[in-house]
Amino acid sequence: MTDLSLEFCGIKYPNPFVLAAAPTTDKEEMVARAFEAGWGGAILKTTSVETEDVSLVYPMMAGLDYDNKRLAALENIDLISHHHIDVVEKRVRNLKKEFPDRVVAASIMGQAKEHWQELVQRLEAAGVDLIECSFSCPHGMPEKGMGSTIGQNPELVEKTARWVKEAAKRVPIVIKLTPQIADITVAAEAVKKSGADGVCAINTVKGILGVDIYDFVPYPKVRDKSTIGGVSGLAIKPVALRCVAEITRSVDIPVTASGGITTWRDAVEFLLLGARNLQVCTAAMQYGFDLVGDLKEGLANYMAEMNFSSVEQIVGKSLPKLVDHGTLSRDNRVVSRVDEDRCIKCGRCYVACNDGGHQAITIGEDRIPQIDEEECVGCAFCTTICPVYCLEMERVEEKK
Amino acid sequence: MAEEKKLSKEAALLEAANCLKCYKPPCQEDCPAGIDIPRFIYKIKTGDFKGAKRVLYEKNLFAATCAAVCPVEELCQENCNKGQVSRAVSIGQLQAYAVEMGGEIEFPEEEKTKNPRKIAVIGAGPAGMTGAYRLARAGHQVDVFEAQKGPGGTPFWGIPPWRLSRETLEREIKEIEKQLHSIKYNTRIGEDIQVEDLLNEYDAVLVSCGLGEGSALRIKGADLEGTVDAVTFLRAHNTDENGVPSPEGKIVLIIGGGNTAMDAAMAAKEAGAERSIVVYRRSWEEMPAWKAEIQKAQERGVEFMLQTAPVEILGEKKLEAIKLVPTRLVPEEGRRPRPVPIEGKEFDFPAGMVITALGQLENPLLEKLEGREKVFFAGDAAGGDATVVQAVAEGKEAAGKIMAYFQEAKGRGV
Repeated sequence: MTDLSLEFCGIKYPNPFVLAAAPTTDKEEMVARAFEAGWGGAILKTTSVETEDVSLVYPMMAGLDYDNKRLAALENIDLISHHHIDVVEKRVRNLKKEFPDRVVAASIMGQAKEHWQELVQRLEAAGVDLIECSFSCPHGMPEKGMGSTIGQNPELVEKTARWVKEAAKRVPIVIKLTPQIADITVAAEAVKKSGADGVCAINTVKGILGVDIYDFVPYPKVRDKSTIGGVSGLAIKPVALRCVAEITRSVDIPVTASGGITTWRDAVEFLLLGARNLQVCTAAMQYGFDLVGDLKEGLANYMAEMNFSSVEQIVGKSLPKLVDHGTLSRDNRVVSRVDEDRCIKCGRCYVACNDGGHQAITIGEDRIPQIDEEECVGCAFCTTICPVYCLEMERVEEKK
Repeated sequence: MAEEKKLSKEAALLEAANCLKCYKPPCQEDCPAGIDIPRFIYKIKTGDFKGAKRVLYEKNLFAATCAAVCPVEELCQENCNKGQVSRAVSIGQLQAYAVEMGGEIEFPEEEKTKNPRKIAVIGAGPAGMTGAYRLARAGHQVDVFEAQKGPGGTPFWGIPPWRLSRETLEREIKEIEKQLHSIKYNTRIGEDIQVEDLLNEYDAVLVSCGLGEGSALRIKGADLEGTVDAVTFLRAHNTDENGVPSPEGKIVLIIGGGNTAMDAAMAAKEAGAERSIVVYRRSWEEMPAWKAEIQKAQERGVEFMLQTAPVEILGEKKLEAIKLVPTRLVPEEGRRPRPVPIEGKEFDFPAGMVITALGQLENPLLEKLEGREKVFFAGDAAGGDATVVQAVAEGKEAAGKIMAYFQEAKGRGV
């Protein structure tokens, strides 16, 4: 077995795959099953002090179809767990006892300093391994001055993170950030200043999944109304990758990534951009806890193929490859090339180049696309739509 | 395909997502009616079923009929580019879905000609009705003459109801009928109306009368009771006409290897034949029936005796058995191999009914009309390939030719 262990905030995870704070971790029995399936850790769904009123609405989820395939994105208007700290501290004790080698973390949210600090103290006493603080839930909680209200204000981030960190005697504190901020590195910097140990990027992206065009009610529909919710799943992966990279390249703080991780390839991408820990929610809800077996095996096979002997060697490897636009080479002359043996002659690239590009592709009698190198500026759009991946960009010597 | 399981909405949406939406799509190029297939499929994908149906009917007034009977494997699906990646898109099933889900569709009024002419259409099959519709929509006065007691032509009389529901066909014909000046049934040109009178009365004649009677089997005993040609048999089977013996409980042998033979064999089985056996002189490879039809026949329990030829039909007054002979195939330069009987190997096979499916003769009406001024041909009468969709294409084309002919005549001051 390949060693997939990776350290995050001073804790050694048996593998970097962690169930994010979500419905998947809102029952002790579910987390136990997830650990049995092989997840390295789990963050129990965000809890609060007993006095906190958590009033849920249903339905709370809606999915975005793409090309008649389900769940390109998921929107939820769920709130924090309706199980309060009294229940969660028991779960922590039980799970830690049953699975001492796994990382049992908890997520918390509070309205006042006393709440935050009480939650930390009780969880520490219960034996929790790590505490994540949600400064980032974009719906429901902000109306009460919680969630992303904090995350969007760097001063509040620093102040609140400091309360939490002060209360923690033993366990690392991770602050979960919202992408709904002009510059996420400012928030990450504020966490760093507070003394907290790490950040999680990102929470859901604020959105409206869609609208029922026949009764005019947006999704998800709660009777005849809806509200703005948080979008997760594969569609937000590019946003999450960007946020992770922005933080890891400019702020010296460990990052646990969250946002669209669905396959082992996604996982590797987040590691390459500097994440040290990988949280999964939507994909685990969609495919089940067994997914972790495929994630682990895919990562292990990739490591063997690439001669990586530890996951650590992957972390941040792409960061030097990510530069400012102005730094990019201006004399990189590329043109599109067609692998005629693989081409199925559908002509999609012709339409794409003709109406979406530079009229550099022609199609003759044999239906094989011909690239006019003079006209091809090398934008690569054609390569993104070919259904059989038979177009590639090739470097050519001189710049015309 | 009428007899295949209809797609559910979910299945249709998933299947529609398989379409690549090719540029200059081969499916459209291979569709005789020229339907913009990727466009109707895209519309299904986006849930615009009415739009999808409009795209279909814009090019094919028999879109529902064709969805049931089109040999899609031989036409639109044959060169589907998706087939190179996984499998061809199920265009036929999607077409059936769109026509079912599209509801009522309407076409905008066309600009009417300022110079309306009188046109006679002979035959109310898909070719004639398509041509008639085009001409009528353009403002011409169209009278249709049909020898049978109702419209539909070969699809109505020749295609078994379990392959094509009569409601489907009738619904499509009804829409066309609304555009016509008149339609007369039980009216044979050359008998009830003389050819010359027709030519005098009308400015143009569209001949879409289909083919004539089935070719006879020229062997000894072929006139014994219990032998029937496939066209007559199918017409009786499909319309519950009397006068043809029932295959029920009998061993039925079908002589021939074309699609009509498959239809007759399946119809015989459907009507309760104990065994339904296709007897064909050559091998699978040369069999002219479409592969999908052969497969359907096999699935329905039809049996096949290949490289076997009929020698003589045996019996006193009624047929009792048939003498058959195995054949060997002798290669022929540039054509199908020639079946040669293996002498001395003849054998008798019990039979309660023999159906001959040896092709149809030319319609005798053609002789009187060929080469005449202002006469146009479409469908099987024009030597088409016997598919509904081809007939539709020819009917459209003939209508275009007739209107071009009027333009030209106008130029000449006629």
